[in-house]
Amino acid sequence: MSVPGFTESYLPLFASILPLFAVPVLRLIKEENANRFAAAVAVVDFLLVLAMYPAISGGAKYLLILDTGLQLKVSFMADALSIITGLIAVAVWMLTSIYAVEYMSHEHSLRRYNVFSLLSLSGMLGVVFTGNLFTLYIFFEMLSVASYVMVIHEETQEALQAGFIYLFMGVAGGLILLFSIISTYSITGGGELYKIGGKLAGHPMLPYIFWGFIFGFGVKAGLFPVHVWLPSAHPVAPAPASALLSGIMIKAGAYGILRTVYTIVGKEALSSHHLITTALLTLAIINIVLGSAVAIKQTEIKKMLAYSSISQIGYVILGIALLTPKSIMGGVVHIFNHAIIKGTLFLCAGAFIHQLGVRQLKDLKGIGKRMPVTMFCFTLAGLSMIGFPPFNGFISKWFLALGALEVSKVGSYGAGVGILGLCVLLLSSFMNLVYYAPIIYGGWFGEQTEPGAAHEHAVETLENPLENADPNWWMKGPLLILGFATLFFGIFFQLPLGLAEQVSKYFF
Amino acid sequence: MLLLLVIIPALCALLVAVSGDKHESWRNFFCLLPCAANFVIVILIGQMVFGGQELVTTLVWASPFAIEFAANYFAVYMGLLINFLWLLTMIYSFGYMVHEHAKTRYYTALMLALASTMGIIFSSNLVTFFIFFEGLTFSVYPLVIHEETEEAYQSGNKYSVYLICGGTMVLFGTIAVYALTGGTRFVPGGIPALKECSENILLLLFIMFTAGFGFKAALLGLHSWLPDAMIAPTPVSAVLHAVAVVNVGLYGFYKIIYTIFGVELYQQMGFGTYLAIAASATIIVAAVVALRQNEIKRMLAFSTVNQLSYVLLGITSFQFIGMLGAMLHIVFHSFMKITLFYAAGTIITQSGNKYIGNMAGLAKKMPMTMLAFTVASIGIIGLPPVAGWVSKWYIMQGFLQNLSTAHIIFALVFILSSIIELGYFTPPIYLAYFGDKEGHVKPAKFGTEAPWTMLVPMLITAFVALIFGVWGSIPHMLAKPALLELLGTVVK
Repeated sequence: MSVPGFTESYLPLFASILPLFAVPVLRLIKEENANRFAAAVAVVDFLLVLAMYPAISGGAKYLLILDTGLQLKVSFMADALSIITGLIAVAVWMLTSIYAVEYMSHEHSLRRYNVFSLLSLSGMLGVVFTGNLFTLYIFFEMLSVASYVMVIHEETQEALQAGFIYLFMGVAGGLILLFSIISTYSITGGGELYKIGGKLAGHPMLPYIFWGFIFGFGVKAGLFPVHVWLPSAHPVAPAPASALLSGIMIKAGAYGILRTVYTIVGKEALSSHHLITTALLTLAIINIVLGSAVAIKQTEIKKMLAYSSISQIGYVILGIALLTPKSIMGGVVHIFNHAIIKGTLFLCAGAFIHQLGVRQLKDLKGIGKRMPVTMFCFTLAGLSMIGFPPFNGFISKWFLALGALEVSKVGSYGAGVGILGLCVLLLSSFMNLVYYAPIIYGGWFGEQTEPGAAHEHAVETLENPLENADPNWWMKGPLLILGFATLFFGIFFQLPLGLAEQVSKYFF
Repeated sequence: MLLLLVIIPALCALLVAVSGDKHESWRNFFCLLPCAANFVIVILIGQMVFGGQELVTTLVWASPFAIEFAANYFAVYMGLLINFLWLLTMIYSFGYMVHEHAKTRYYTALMLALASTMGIIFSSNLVTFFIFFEGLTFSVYPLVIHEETEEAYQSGNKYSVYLICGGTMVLFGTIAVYALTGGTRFVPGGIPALKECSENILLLLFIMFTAGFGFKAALLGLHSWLPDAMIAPTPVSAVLHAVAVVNVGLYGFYKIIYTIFGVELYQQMGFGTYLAIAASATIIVAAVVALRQNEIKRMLAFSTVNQLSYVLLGITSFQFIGMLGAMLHIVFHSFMKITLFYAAGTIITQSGNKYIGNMAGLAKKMPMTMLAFTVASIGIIGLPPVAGWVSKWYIMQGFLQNLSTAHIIFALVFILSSIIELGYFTPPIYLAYFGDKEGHVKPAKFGTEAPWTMLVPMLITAFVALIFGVWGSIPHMLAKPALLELLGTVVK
C-alpha cells in the first residue's frame, strides 16, 4: 500500500527486527562470545539506520504497512524525528556494546544479558520506527520487559527490588498507554501516525487521552511524578546497561511524548487547552529543578548521574511543551546530545568501577592521575552537561533559550512562561555546575585517597598508585569516540540540527 | 459424520475400560485415537462448512426430544480448539499419570467427557445441548474425586451440587423456551417468537440461563467449585477446568445470547449491562483473590475465573470488534491457561511441591517448564507479543467505540485486572528465576526437567500462544465468520 508523500521501504522494518532475529542465533554461540556477537549485531543495525539517513535528511519519508491477519495493521515509518532518535540510539548502543565486550567479560549469565539487550534494542528501534500506535505499543512493552532483565542483571537484593518497581511501573504505564491508544483508535478510526493528526481536536475525551499518553510514556521518560523507579533502577544495572537505560531508553519515553504532543494530539488541538500545556510545562520544570537538586546531594556516581538524567529529560520535555519552532528544535537536539553525554558519563563511571572499584564520588579525587583518558572523557561530557560552548550541550540549551524567547513575545501569558523558562535554564545550568565541576576539579587536582578500601572488586589491583589504570581499547575506544562526539557535535552541529529543523518545519 | 464425533470417543471409552491396566498400550492407543480422529474429522467438517455445505444430523424420538447436530463455523472453531488440546493433554497424561492409581477409570472418564463436549458443541437445539451438558457434568465427577481422599470427596460433592444446580436451571430454561416458542432450535440472530414474550418472562429466562451457565463459566458467587476442583490430577484441571468445562459454559452463553435471545433483544432488555456488571465484578474480585493464593493450581483457578469473565464482558460490548475479541479470547486463553496448568503439573510431579513460595530457584532445574510458564503468564497479563493482548485490545476497543462513562469504566476494568495479574504472576516467575539468592526461602530441593511426554505438549501450547499474538490469521479466519453467523448475518 503506497501513501502519497511516502516512499515504501523495508529499511525501518529491518532495522527494528534485526536484533530480534539475532536472538535465536545467539543461542548457538558460545557464551563467552555472546558479547562480541551482540556488538556485531549492533554495528550492522547501525549501518542499516545510517543507510536511511541520506534520503531522510533529503526530505524523504519511509512508510511500510503490513497486513498481519489481525484486525490491526503493522506499520513502520521513518521521518526526520525517527531518524534523529533512532540514529543516536543505535550509535550509542553500538559503542556501548563494544565497550561491554570487555566490561561484561567477567560477568555471569552473559547469554541472558545479551539476549535481553538485543530485545531491548529491537524494542527501542521499534518504538522509534513505528508507523502506527499499535506497533508502537508492542515494541514499547517489549522494551519495558526486556530492559527489566538488564536492570536486575547483578541479581543483588537491591537490584531485584529496583527491578521489581521498574517492571511494575513500566507495565502499569504501558497499560495506561494502551487505554489511550485504543481510545485513539476508536475516535479516529485508526492509529496510523501520518494521518492521525488533529482528529482528536475538540473531543471531550481529549484531556484524558492526552494524560494517558503523557504518563504512559512519562514512566519510561522519568517524568515527575512517575520517575520514582529511575534513580534506583538505573544505577543498579551494569554500567553499559545503565548507559543505555539512562542515555537511550528514557528517550523512548521522550520520543513518545513528542509524538503525542505534535503528531497524535497535535498542537492546534492543544492550543485551546492552556491548562494542559501549562501543566506539562510545570512538570518539565519540576523535573529539571528537582532532578538537579537531588543530584547535588548524591554520594554515589551512578546515582548522581541517574538524577541528572531526570533533570535532563526535563529539558527535552520543556522544549516540547513550549510549543514553538525553536524550542522543539532544542528538545529534539537535546534527545540527540544528551544520549551522547549521558552515555559517556555512565561509561566513564563504569570504567572507574571496572578498573578500580570506585563507586563513590569522594573516591574520585585524584583519579585523573591514574585514569587520565577516562577522566578526560568525563571532563568533556561534564562540561558539555553544564552547557559550556563549544560542547553540544550548549547547542541544545541555546535553542531551548531561543524557544523560550519566542514564547515570551506572545502575550502576557507567553511572557511569563518564556521568562520562567529562561530562569529555569539558567538555574539548572548553575546547578549542573555545582555538581559536575567539583568532580572534574577534584578528579584532576584533588589528593588521591587511600587506595584499597573501596577497591575490593577492582579488576586491577596495582601496587603502584601512580601506575596508569585506564581500561583497554575495547572500553577506551568507545569512551573516546563518545567523549569527542560531545565536542564534535558542539562545533559541527549541522547533522542533528538539520534533522531537528526538518522536524520543526514539519510540525509548524 | 457429526455423530462420529460423539460415537468415536464414546466407543473408545468402552474400549479403554475393556483394555484396562493389563493391556496398557492398547488403552493408550484408544485414548489417543479418538482425539486424533476427531481432530481430523473437525477439519473435514470445517472444509465442508467453508465450502457452503449444510451438515445436519437428526435422531428423532419424539418431537421435543429431537437429538439434532449441526455444523457451523463456531462449532468448528471450538471443536478444533478442544480436540487439539485434548490430544496434547492425553500425551501429557501419559507422563503425568505414571505413578497414579485407577488409570483405567481416569482415561474412561476423560473419553466420556470428550464425547459429551463434542455433543454439546455440535448440538443444534437446547435439548441436545442440555443432555450432553449434563453428561459432561457426570463424566467429570470421577476425575474430580480421583485422589479418593476426604478432601477430594468433599470437593467432588461441592462440584456435583453446584453443577447439577446449574444444570437444573438450564433445564428449566430449556423447558420454558420450548413452552414459549414451541421449539428449542438455535436460530442465528435469536428466536423470533421470544420477542413477543412479556418482559418478566424474559427476565426470568435470562436469570435462569445466566445462573445455569454461570456455574460452569464460573461467574462470581457461582465459581467456588472451580478452585476446589483443582484437587483433581493436573491434566484434568488443564483440559477440563481451563478448557472444556469452562469453555462449554461460555459456549452456553454464546448460544443463549446470540441464538436464543438474539443480540438485539438482549441489548434492548438491558441484560447486557447486568451481565457486564457481573463479569466486571468477577474479573476484579477473582484477580484480587488470586493475589492471595499460595497454591499454584488454586491461583491458576482464580485466574481462570478472572479470564472467563473477560469473554463475557467482551460479548457485552456489542460491538463487532469487542465480540470478536471475546471469541478470540476463548482460544487464546485456552492455550495460555493450559500451558500454565501443564507447567504447574510438571512442577508438582517433578519437584513434589505445590506452593508458589517453594518455587525458589526452580528455573535452573526446570528451564523449559519455567520458560513455558513465563510465556503463558505474559499472555495472561496481556502483554505483547503473547496472544492475550490481542483479544484484550479488541475488547477494549469495542468498549471505547462509543465512549460513554459506563463503557469507559468497563474498559478500565481490563487495565486494572492486568495490573493485578502482573501482581500475582510476578512472584512465581521471580522466585523461580532469582529466588535462590540469599534472603529468600530455601530453593526447591528436587526437581528435574520433565519427561518429553509432558514437556512437548507444554512447549507446543506455549509456542502457539506466542504465534497467535503476532500472526493471527488462523483464529481470525474462523472467528470472524463464526461471529457473523451467530449474529445472523449471511456469510459469503
